[in-house]
Amino acid sequence: MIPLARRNLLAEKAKFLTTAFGTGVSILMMLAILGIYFGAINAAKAIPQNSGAKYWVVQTGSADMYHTFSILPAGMQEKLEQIDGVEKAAPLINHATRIKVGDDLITSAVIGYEINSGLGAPWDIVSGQNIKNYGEIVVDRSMAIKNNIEINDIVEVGNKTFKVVGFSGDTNTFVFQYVFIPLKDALEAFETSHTVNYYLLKTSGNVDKDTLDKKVASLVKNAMVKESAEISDANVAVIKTSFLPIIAFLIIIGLFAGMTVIGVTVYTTTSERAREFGVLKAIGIKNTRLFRIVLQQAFVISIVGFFAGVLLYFLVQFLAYKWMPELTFALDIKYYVYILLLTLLMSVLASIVSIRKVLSIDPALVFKA
Amino acid sequence: MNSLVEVKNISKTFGSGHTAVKAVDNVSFSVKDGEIALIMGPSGSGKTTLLTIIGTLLSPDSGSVFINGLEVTALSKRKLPDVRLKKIGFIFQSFNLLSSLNVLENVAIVLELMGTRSRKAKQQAQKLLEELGLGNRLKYNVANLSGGEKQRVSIARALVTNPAVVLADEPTANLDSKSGHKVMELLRNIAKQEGKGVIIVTHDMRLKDIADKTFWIEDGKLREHSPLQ
Ligand SMILES: Nc1ncnc2c1ncn2[C@@H]1O[C@H](COP(=O)(O)OP(=O)(O)OP(=O)(O)O)[C@@H](O)[C@H]1O
Ligand SMILES: [Mg+2]
Repeated sequence: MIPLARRNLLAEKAKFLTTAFGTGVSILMMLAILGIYFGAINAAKAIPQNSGAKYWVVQTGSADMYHTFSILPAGMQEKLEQIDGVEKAAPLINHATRIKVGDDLITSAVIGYEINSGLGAPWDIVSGQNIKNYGEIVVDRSMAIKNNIEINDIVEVGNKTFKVVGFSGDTNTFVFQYVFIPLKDALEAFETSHTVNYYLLKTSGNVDKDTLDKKVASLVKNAMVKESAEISDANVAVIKTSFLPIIAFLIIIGLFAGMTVIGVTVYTTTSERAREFGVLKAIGIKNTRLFRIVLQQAFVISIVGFFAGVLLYFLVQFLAYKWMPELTFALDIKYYVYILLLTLLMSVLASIVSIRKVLSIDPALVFKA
Repeated sequence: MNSLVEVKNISKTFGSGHTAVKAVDNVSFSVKDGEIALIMGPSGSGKTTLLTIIGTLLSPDSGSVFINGLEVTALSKRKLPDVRLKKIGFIFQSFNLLSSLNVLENVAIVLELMGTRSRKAKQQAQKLLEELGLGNRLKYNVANLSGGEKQRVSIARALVTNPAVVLADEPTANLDSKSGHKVMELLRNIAKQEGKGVIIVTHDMRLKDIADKTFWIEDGKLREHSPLQ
């Protein structure tokens, strides 16, 4: 079969490339908006998910780590460890504050964790090393890049100074970044030796949450047990309610813009060859074959555009990683498939509009000079 | 000899009221196999309209057209593409080649539309193009051909499906005299060697030399030129 659709597209390579690139940019826009959105969602989940503890003890009424507060008495870890099935209990401080880097004050969330237990520790050290001693700090990588913080720099948290020993990945939530210090230092720095925010429980075997909850409540006043997944869900809900309307709006605009580009492209590609389609009709082509040609043209543009868009998206991520580290992207493979399907759907819709035009072409025009 | 084309009392009016133009007015004639009919007439006299109706691209207001015995004016619109594909070859003044295909593909695609397999379609197209002296142009981009070459490609395209009837609108108008002569010779062979019915619409007086009958059309009315005129 002579690939007329492909020949039509490749007859003008520069135009085809421009078209594919235009489609690619639209695809990039959709992928990037979705990627940023899911990046923010992932960031919201990161701390609870990577805490190393399946259960968190929180103050009754506390849900997420942003909008609801949790204050618990300090020094309860040994009692908590007595509970059947609890292997390890470790306090955690989560304290939003401004840390001093040189002359700058940077708002960040300070995590104070028990360095011997490892629960609540940064899980992805991208350079340097994890905390081994008191007086050390690990800061979020994007925060380090943005503020020119280097390993071995000294920063101030509360009334204490810390030496930067490593950068952590996956600890940037757009709005603020996490830094990590030893629990003991955090209690001193914030002068809160009587209270902590959470206890992280590492359990063994099949521990029933309700039983655990009852035991914890009887040991610690106003405390309850939550699965770390519940906390990440609550965090995500906060991000969603504050972020989602904007993102949803952008995604819809992005989709419309992208789809319009694809639609217009397919339509003009067809219209340009109206006369030649008229010739084929005069010769006696079947309408089904005409439709196939138009559809093939649309699919080729869409698929090449899609892969161009994906490549651009990877490029943008790579550049952002270097130059805009506060942007984090995350996109599940299924969303690529959705966007591809949407793109194909749009090219079918545009093809229908195009084919109506082709069908309306009067083949008698072939006799006009 | 059979009548390959039979036109009976065809009329076509464009527009209505006092802007109405009677482009074809009660025209009847027939063309047998091996015969070349020439239709001449001033600009706007209805030549193209008549040819378009015979080619089933336009339906007349009244009258009927038979192609190879089949009353095409009685067929539903849906069946017409197939009639054109199998029974009619078109040759246009402006060639109307597909610009994104090469010479061979422009001819082979018509066979593919008929359901011929790609490889066989190309073989047949190549054979015909070689006969028409285009054997060394097969892979050429059609845009790079001379006018005469383009018209020979379009003649190959019209003939490759072995149609009963060939309709040509001003086939020599865009050609220099040498290319024009070559095209005339080909059209003559189509009728005489292949036994097809050929209808040519033209201003070009030279074409009278190859015509078996010549018609004059004016204001949509057709009359036959006597050979003496
Ligand atoms: N689609 C149309 N709608 C309205 N009027 C038309 C249409 N097609 C042709 N006509 C008119 O019908 C008449 C005959 O036109 P036609 O194209 O058949 O002439 P022609 O003999 O082929 O002329 P030429 O030698 O200039 O090609 C003209 O007056 C033309 O304006
Ligand atoms: Mg004309």
